[in-house]
Amino acid sequence: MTAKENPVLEQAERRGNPGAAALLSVIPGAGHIYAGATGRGIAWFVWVTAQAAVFYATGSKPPSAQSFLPWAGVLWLWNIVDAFWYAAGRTRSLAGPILLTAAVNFAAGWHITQVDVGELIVGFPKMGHIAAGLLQPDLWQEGRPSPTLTHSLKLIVDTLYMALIGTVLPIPVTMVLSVVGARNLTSGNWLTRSLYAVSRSIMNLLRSIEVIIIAVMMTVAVGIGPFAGVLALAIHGIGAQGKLYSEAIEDIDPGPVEAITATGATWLQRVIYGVLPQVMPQFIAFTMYRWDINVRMATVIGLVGGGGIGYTLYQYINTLQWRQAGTAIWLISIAVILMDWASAVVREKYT
Amino acid sequence: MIRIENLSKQFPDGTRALKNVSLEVKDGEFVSIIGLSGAGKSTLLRCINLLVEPTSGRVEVDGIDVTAAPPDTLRRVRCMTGMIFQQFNLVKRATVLTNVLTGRLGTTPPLWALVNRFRPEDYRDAMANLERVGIADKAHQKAGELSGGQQQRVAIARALMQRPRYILADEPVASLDPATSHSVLRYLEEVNRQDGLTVLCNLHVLSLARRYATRVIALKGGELVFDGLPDEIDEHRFKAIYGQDAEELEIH
Repeated sequence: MTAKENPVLEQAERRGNPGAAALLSVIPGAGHIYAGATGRGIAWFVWVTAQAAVFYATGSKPPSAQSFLPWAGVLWLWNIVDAFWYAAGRTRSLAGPILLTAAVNFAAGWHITQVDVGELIVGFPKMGHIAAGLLQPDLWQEGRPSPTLTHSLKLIVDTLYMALIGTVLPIPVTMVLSVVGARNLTSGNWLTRSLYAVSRSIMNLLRSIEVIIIAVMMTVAVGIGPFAGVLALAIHGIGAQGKLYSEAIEDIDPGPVEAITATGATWLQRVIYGVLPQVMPQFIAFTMYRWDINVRMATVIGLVGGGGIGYTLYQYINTLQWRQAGTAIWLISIAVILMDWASAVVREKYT
Repeated sequence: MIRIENLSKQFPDGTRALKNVSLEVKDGEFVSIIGLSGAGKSTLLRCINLLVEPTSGRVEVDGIDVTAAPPDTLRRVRCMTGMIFQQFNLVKRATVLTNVLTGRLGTTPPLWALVNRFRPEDYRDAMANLERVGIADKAHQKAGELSGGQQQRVAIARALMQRPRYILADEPVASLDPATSHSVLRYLEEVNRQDGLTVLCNLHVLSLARRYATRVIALKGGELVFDGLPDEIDEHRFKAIYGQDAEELEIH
C-alpha cells in the first residue's frame, strides 16, 4: 500500500506555520485563531485565563489555592503545544488537559473547603447527642403529650400553611406571566413578542435567586417571621411555576384554539376557552408539587428567620435541647414524607 | 358572496401553497374543493377567515375586504363564517355543551369570559343545535369521550351557534369511516338546502364531491385547475387533477 492510498500515512495538511502559532500562543488561543480555529482558540483563552484567575482569586491568606497557580502555567504550555500541532495539521485530543484541569480543581477544592477526614472521625461521636435526641424524642410527659410535642405540632401546621399561602398567593401573577410567556400565544405582533421576552426574563430572574436569599432580603423588609418566609416562597415560586406553566401551554393541541379563533373570539376568550381547559390538570399537578417543595423549603427558611418550625428547631439545637430537636426533626420528616406522597398521587392522577 | 382575487400564499419556509387563485362563490352554493394533499385546499379556506394571512391578493366576504379589515371587523367576518376541521378541534376536556357554546364567543362581551358567562338563550340555542345534529343526550359528557362522528357533529353544532352565513369545512370527513362520513356530510347538505348557508368543503375523495356538491373546484400545486359541475370531471380531467397513476375510488 502506498502512502497516497493510506490516509494515516498521508502528509497532514498544514494550516499555518507551526512555529508562528506556538509563538503567538503566548497569548492563549491566539495561535489557534491564527491557524483558523477560532472556536478552539477562544476556548483555550477562556480556559487558561479563567483557571489562573480562579486560583489567584482565592487570596493569599489560608485557605488559599494560589499555590496551585503553576498548574495554570502547565495548561498554558499545553495550549502552546496544541497550537503548534494544530497549525502543523494535527488536531490533537483535548482529553489530557481536560483531565488535568478536573484533577487539579478537585485537589484545590479539597484544600479550600478544608476537608479533614481526621476531624470527622474524631468529631463524629459529638453528634451522639442528636442521635440520642432522635432516639428519645420529647413526646410524652406525665401521661400527656409533652409541651414540646404540642408546640412542634402547632409549628408544623404553621409551616404547612406558610407553604400553602406561599404556593397559592402568587398564582394570579404566575398565570398572567405564563400566558404572556408562552410562544404560541404571543407570535401575533412585535408588542406581544416583546411582552413574551419581558415575561420570560422576569421568570428567569426570579427563579435564579434561591429562596433562602430572598427570605433574608424579606426579613429586612417585613421583619423575622412567617410572613417573610411566605413572601420568599411566593417570589421564587412565580419564576419556578411560571416556567412550568408556560411550557405546558406551549405543548397544547393548537387545533381547539384555532377553532375558537375561527368563531370570532378575542385573545382573552381564546385563552380562557381554548387554552386553560387543556392545561388545567397540569396546572393543578404542578401546583400540588410546588406546595410539596414549599413545605421542605419552609422548614429551611425558618433557619434564616422565616418563621415556622425551622426557626424553633434552630433554637433547640443552639440551646442544646437535643430531645426537643429530635421531636421537631421527626415531625418535619413525617410532614415531608406525607406531602411527597400526596403530591405524587395528585400528579399520577393528572399527568 | 365570497370573492377571491389573485390570491397567493407563500409560507416562511418557502412553500408556495397558493398561486394567483381567483374565484367567486355565490350565496347558497355547495362548493367542494378537491385536490391532492398539499394542493393548497386548507390554505385557501384559511385565507377566507384569515386564520392564514395571504401573501398577496384580496379576499372579500359579503363585500368586506378581509385582508384589510381592522380586528373588530375581522372578528365579525369570522363570526359569520363557521368552520369545521378534519380533527374536529374540540376542547376534549370540556363538556359538549361548553364546546358548542364557544360558537357564541364572537357575539358575547369578551370580559364575560372571565366568569364563564353566556346568555340564557345561548344555552337554549346550544341545546337546540345539539338536538338538530342528534346528540342532545351527550350535552354534559366530555367531548373527548365521544366517537369521531359524534365529535364532528358537535363541531357542526358549534359552527351553527355562530348563526353563520358561510360554512368552511376543511376535510370534515377525512378522519371518519365511510358510513359516518355520509352522516356528517348530510348535515352540511341539510344546512345548505334548508337554511341556505353557503358551504365550502374540502374533500379529497371525488365520489363524495360528486354526491354532495353543486360545484367543484380543483387545486393542483396551489393553482386552480378546474371549476365546474361535478359531472364535468371525466377520466381525462380526473387524471389531470390527481396525476396519471390515480384511480377513482368509490365511497358509498
